[in-house]
Amino acid sequence: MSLNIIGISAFYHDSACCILQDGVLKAAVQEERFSRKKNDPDLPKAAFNYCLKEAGITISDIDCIAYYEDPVKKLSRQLWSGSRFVTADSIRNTDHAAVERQIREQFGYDGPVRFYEHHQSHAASSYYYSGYDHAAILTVDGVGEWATTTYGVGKGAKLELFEEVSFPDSLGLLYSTITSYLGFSVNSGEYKVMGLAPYGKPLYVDKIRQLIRNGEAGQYELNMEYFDFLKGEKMYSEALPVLFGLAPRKKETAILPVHEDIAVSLQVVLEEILIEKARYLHERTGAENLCMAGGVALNCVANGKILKSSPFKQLFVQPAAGDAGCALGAAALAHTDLSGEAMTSQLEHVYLGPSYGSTDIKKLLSATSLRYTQQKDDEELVKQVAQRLAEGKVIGWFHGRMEFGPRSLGARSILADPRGADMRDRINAMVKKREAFRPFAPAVLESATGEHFDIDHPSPFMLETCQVISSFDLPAITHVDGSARVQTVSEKTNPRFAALLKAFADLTGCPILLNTSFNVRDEPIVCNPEEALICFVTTDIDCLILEDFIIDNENNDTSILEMINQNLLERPSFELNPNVYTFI
Amino acid sequence: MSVRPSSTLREKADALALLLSSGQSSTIEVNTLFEELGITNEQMADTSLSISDATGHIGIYKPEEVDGEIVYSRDISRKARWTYFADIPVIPAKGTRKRVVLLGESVARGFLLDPGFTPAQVLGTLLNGNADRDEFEVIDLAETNLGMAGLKERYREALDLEPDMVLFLAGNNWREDLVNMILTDKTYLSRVREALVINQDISSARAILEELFSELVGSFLEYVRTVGGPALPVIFAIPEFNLLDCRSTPGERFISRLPDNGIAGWIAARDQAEVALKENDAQRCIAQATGMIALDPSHPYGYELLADAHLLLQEYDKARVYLETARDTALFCRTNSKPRMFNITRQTILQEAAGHNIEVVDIPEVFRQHLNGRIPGKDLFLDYCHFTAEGIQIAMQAVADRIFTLSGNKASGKLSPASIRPDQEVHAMAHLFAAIHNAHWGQQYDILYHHCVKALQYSKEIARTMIYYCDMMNRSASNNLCKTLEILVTGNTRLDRYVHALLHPRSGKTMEIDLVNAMVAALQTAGVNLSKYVDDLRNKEHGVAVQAVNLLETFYHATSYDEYQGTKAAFYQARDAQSVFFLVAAKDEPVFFDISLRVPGLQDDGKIRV
Repeated sequence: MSLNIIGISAFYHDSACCILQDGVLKAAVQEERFSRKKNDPDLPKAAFNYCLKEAGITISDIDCIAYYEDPVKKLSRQLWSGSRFVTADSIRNTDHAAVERQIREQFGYDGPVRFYEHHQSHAASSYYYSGYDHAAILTVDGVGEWATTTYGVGKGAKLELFEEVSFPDSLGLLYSTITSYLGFSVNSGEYKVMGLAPYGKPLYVDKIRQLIRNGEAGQYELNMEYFDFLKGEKMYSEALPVLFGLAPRKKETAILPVHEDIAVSLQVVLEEILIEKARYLHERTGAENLCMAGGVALNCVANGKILKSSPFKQLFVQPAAGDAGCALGAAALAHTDLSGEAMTSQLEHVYLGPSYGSTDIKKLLSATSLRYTQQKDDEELVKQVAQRLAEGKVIGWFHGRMEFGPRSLGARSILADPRGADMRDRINAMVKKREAFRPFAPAVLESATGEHFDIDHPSPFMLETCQVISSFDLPAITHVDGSARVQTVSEKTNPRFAALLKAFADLTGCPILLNTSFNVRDEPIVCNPEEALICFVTTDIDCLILEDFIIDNENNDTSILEMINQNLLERPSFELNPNVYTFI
Repeated sequence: MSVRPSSTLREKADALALLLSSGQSSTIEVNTLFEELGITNEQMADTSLSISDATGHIGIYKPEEVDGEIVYSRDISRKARWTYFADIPVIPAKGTRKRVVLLGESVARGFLLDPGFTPAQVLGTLLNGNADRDEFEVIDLAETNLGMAGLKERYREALDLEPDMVLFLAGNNWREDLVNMILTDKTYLSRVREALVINQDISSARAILEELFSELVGSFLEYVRTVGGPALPVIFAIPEFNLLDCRSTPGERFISRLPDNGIAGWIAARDQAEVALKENDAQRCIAQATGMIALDPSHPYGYELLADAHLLLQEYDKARVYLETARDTALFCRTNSKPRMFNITRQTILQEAAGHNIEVVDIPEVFRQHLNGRIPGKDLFLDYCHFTAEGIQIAMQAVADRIFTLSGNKASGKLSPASIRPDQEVHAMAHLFAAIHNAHWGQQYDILYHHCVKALQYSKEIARTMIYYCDMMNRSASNNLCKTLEILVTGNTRLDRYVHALLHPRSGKTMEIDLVNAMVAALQTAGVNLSKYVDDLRNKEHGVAVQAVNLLETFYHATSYDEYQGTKAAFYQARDAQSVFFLVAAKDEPVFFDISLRVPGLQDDGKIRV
């Protein structure tokens, strides 16, 4: 009999569900991909049903549901910090047993539910999927229950966290505070600040250092004079603009050099602290390998620096390093508890979501007015797509199982030729409507990586940056400082995407493609063929590849479909408060 | 300066969290900990600035100076809401004609006939066709989806138009305002909670809800007079409900949680009442339906069965009372019921309007007299509350008569309301969309068929629209991607206002089996045979011989957009003794099921039948 464990993260933001079957990760998906509500916090019911289906089991086969957080400890922190939005009566009237009750009622589940702590889940989501037998573990985020940073070690099946930094001292909240001050949304704008940094000069490092005091061992402390997030309304106090001598930037207004300078100064201080703490962790554990998770671990620039500047030889970052990935960690912890064994398989890829067959796609397409062709020969298909890419076309690429985590990695991607001088602006104008300062990222054939990028190991999850050393001019994917956030693509994990890169290389000599996520701004990445079609008809993507089916924009008049889907469709919404972290 | 709270309080927070999580919320220990943590019941004042919206707008209209006069033009920045209003680009400056401003909701909009045929148009034509003294202009500010709060705002804004008279045709959307009033007032909330949740006493809950609703309606009347000033003539036309031909929806019919063995008793009584009705045994039906009501006075279906039994006995007055009571169970907010005029609202207006010098046109009474005491149904209503052309004609005639009285005009009778008719295409489209709208809200096949046939009677051209609709609804693809929707949208600009009816909720498409079947049957009467096409398409798209189907998908169990509206589970949650699913399969074809089910508390001898 299989040991079937469901892992869940839910109720704050980015809910997700995964399933482990005998220690093997069979499926994982964020609820937002089904509900189409970005950052959906609701209990992941659709994701749960998908996981059962993918694993070929029913609810009665589940041995345990593992939840990623301790609601009691979280409540304690919420009570301690206080908020102007809650009163004693509102707290009394809240159902504090709601998490388990909702899991049971809304899943229809009678079996065991186990609760694991937030950072414990983060730590497990990295260590147990790393393939390492021994590793140091560093988790860094805004806050879980009380912990904001934890230090641990994993050896075999055993994972132990031996030190933590407690709320309100938090590197994640420091970063989010500056993110808010720079006019970006909290919880979703942090990587924009990371992308802005290379444009600036580190003129404000000393100011940033006034916000945070480095401490002994793994400790550090925020200077709360500058922060106001305890009351749950905004991130920074009035002292922060005074410190920088600059009023907060309003959203969607011009980004000035001073904003870039603050961004890079923040990045410098963050890296300083992380590198020092990584060194401390190495001293404590003596491990060669480092595992990281938590939202701050999505700062891929810092990740690269940590590996280069610390004694660690290898680094594994959980691809879904944010709260969605905690579902994986909780499941792994439950697996270890129940089986006594560690998970043995390394996370080699994140293609853990649903896929869709040709029959269903054909049925869908035949209901539409779209003209399409079907190319069942894989080799011929990639040749035709490569040809279009070489002609400068922007391709919506939908193939295989959907990725888990924030990055598109060749299953639900928008692809383009990275060599064009105007490709970044074109894709921004056509599809993404992003800030102009943000570059796109490249996917490269693993075998050809070393020729074009200064990185000596595979990077399948786009979690590290490195310098571009290619002889090709690649303006669309090269950042202002010459760096890129690379995805290396192997034939083993994504044969068709690898074949496409090869076909493109055969045509052009360049084994690199621009790879960005298949979605429009403010919407989740597409999940099913219908959403891919909607994205296709409401943007200027030149060609959509839906598995074996090729739909060219130039062969179709999509103006009516665009009008319908642009103007008449109701878009579900959930709004993270853009001004303050989700504490409640 | 922000400081962090004392670390010594962390233990207290831990302790309080543990106590609260174990269900203790009001012990001395808990209260002490709240105090020590500084958590009180005082909320800090909201220091965010409130934005005052003194732009001079009247709904979607903004003031503009044209040739020295102020006119009101539609504001392009509010284009998203244009289709909720009349299709009138400009409201001219006040002239010499008597200005009647019409304010209201979708009934006043003439929903489904709008913009081709509206109450304002009919009223204007009647007034100018029959007045012996004055000329009139009717300014149509009716707005679909408007609630009481919005109505008050619109009224206030509309006074800038210098009306000589204001006409309200509203009240169907006020339940939402009642709910808001209760939720934002601790005393009201506590009273309702005590009656409904703690005591589970439906009768006293009803009394409290009606008392509060009456208070709300009374305050609206007072507001109207206060804001409008003492001299402004105001008429309030009370809407009516489609008592005979609008029945409770699947969402309204879900079975309540009842104490003791109430659920089993209720189901048994219901099943027996239905059998009795089928067998035309009115007395037996009455007995069983009475039993249903005794067990659950909040449920509409018992009253509907009683009404049907009395209709069998031709006891129309009694039937009417039960149909009104069924309608009014929406006061318990069992689900998100469609708009309606509640008895308490009507009674309050009838009793209190005169005290505020507000004239009343009681459309329920007008319809009753028009029908010689019979109960209003599909002849006067396109759906739950929106009038047919005839309904508008009769209602507006009554309003016109009152306006003549108030303005000192004599009605010449030259122009009859029946002579003011929509054109054939408008009429056809109204009935087609009535069929669709009724289907979406769970009405029976007979009503859907009635409207489909009516649509074809008014215009054979509508057949084409029906054919495309049938194709679209049988596809498994979402409507927003179907080529038939593209054809429908481009083929008829009159669809603008109602195009959303052609788009289903996300992941909520159903096969609309009853509606498609009704269309196929109606088309048959017009010589169009679509049966085989529909059968073949259903088989291709949903046939279980071709593909496995997931019964959890709405195609295979939902019959309307109004299924249970509580928290959705990850599973199909049975809310009745019998759950119905749909399959497409050939007659003798074997079908295989893979079902996981759980029945909490199932008795040892309990059976589950598939």
